[in-house]
Amino acid sequence: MPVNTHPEEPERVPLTARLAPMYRLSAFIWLLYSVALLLTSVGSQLLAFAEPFRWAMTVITALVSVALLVRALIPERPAWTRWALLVLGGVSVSTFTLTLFAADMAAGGFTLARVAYALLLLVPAFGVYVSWVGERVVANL
Amino acid sequence: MSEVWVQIIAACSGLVTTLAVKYLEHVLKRRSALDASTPDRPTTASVATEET
Repeated sequence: MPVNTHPEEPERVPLTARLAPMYRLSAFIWLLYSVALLLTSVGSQLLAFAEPFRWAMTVITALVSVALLVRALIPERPAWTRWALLVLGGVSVSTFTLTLFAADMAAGGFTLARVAYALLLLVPAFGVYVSWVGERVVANL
Repeated sequence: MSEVWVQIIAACSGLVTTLAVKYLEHVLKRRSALDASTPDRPTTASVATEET
């Protein structure tokens, strides 16, 4: 019988041993996305016009990457690392919006490739938001 | 710097989306706690099972 390690939240369903590897895998996937966003913030030509945002994004995604690495490696999953998921989602949405602005204002107009690139930047947001809500409501990690 | 307002809008879009998800989680948790505290109350899952 799985033990609820969060007595302050008795309504949460304990995570079974079968599900645990899947949640660990998801932490690695979000880590991969956070590193990808970190590299985007450093190297994207589209974001070059928004220098302050770009550096803030680099710092935030670096912190999120560290938190997700801790989350993926430590079995207990410290509670503070859960926030990395939400922050990663916020950064993803912000980068999507800024990339659309960049395509229109700095790069000379929308093209299919630029819109598609912006949509790809939005993918981690959907993943981490679903993961966050599912984890908080259903699973006890 | 003319691009500052663009960066503010971009930052706000991420913040607002995140807060919306946090609120959604709050609502779902409250509903989940309600289901757990009243076992006889029909839940969304039990109603769906009965219909199928």
